[in-house]
Amino acid sequence: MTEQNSIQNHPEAELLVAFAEHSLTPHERESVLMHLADCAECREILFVAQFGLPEEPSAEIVVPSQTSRANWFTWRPITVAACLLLTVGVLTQQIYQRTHSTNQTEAKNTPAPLPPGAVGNLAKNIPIPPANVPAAHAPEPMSAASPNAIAAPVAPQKEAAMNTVTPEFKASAPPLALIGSEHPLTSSESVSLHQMQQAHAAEMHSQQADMHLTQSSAADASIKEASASQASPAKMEAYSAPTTSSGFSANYEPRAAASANGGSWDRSAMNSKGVSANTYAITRPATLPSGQIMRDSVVLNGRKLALDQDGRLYSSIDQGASWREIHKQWSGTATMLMLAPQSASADSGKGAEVSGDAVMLLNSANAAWISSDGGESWKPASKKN
Amino acid sequence: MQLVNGICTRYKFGLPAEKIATPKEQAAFIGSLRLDDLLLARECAEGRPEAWERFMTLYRVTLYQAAYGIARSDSAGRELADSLYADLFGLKEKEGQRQSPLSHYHGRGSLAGWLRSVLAQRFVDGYRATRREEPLEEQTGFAAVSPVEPALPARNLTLLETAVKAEIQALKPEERFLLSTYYLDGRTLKQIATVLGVHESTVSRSVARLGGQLRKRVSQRLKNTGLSQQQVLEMLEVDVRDLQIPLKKILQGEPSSAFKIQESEKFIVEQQADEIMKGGEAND
Repeated sequence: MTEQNSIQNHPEAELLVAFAEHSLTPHERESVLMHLADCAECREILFVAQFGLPEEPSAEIVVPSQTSRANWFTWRPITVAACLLLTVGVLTQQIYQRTHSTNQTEAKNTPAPLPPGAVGNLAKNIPIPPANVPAAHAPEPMSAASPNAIAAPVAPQKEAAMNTVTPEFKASAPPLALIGSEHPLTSSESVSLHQMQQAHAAEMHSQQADMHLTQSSAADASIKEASASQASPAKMEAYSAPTTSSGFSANYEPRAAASANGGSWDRSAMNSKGVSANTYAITRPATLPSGQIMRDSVVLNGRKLALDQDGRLYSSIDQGASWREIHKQWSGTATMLMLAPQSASADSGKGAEVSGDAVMLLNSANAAWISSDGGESWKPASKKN
Repeated sequence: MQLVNGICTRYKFGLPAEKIATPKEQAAFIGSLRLDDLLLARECAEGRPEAWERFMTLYRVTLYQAAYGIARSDSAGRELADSLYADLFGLKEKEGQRQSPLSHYHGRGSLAGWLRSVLAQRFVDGYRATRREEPLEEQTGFAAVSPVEPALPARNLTLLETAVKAEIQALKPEERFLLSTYYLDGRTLKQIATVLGVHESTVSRSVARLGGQLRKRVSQRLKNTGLSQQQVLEMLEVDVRDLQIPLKKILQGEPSSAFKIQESEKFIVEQQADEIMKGGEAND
């Protein structure tokens, strides 16, 4: 009887349904909730009835997630292997780059360290380069100082850049593009150094420095003379590279590279007058009175002959300090100067008669003219000319 | 119309007995009724073939699926559904009249929900009847539990029990419902959230907040008895099994009086409702 009374006190099944469906009035809901808080039996019926609900769409969503998980397990070994390969590749590249940059840094002759504060001054005063900075001069990884570099004042003037550089630094400026690899710089510093490099190249260009670097002590006397006379001691110090452990000088640049950089090979170091095979000479770009870069030159008995890009010939007796143009006595455009080989001199019977040291000039058609008076007068090397 | 009036009288428009429903409240209550389901259920209870055909079309699959879901077994679910289906069809007769449970449906909730609820009620009743026949040792291992010596002095234990009991009883019905379903019944957050019509995270936050508040209130109540902070902390660290607190009994409390309708009152109300419904059917 007691049990029957307690059952009668339970809310109807219909009210439990209405409670679960939220369709009761607030008063009824409160009453049912009050009963449910006390009655485990009704709570059980209420929740068990929920088991009979049709499956929700969310249950169907579980299937794709299981599938995707299965796919993940299927692809995981491949993914892990790919990640490992990628990691190894990146590490290998980094090691190669680091080794390569170290070799370049050692070879590029950085004898004098940067003066204290020089980099900082550059970063502050040298403007940001334009957006089309060559990839070779791309800055090193950015650091926290990058925002400052970006915010640097935009007043790009080479003079301003050079004013921030101390004279010592000017004299001993190393190949600046390589500094970043050895000295981790901020982007602003790298950018500034790039500007510095450009300014330095301009300075060198304006001074018409024709620097001859030799490795062999047994080089031709004329080469030695030219090098000693045309390169100032400071610049020689800056550009004379100590021989590396492999015995290879950093300034032994390929000919094509030297030409590509605007320089030219001094063939006087290559002619047959006792120059050893391993003697190289690089002629730094220098301008002639015509305003053009020197195309070719030879030094003979203290007199220097030089061709510009248009084939005009100039002569200098003071090692390039002053030039005098020699009137044209050949056809076509002169393209090359060289010390006349012995065979050419001996063969002079066919054309010009030469005696002693002579200079040979070639035009664009490879026709030769020979001068035996230091370039003042020219005669065809053969009769057909 | 008479049928609806009888339902409105039976449930008093879902309002307290002493309150008179306004027209707006009456409209809201009537609007919440599932009249389509109600009419179908009544026609099925009367044994009309067309209604049964429609009922089978709409709810047969629902009924069996719900039974499978509740019983978690095909055979038990089919047995459960078949049993209810026979009863719904009115195979039982009383005084020469078909007796169908569908006649007790009043359209307060959906007919499908009502079917699920009736299935659940029958399943729980059957499960409990079966459990009563099992030996006690095979149930949950209560016989193996040995008495544990209390870790606190008897006085402190008494204080703690009193404080916990008082604070739990001071909770609101919904708060006690949350704690009961979560801690006593072991329902999941999702199940509770579905029943209450809120998100799982809301239930989770509510349960966590209630636990914190309860602990704080019990601590404060214990401090008010003169205990130090250290003593209170030690008491709150006590194993709950050391307490002689009938948490289940406290949480569930005494059966609510909300549905304690006096027998005489209930009889009168049912009589009135039956008369109204019969009058309505006669008019129909």
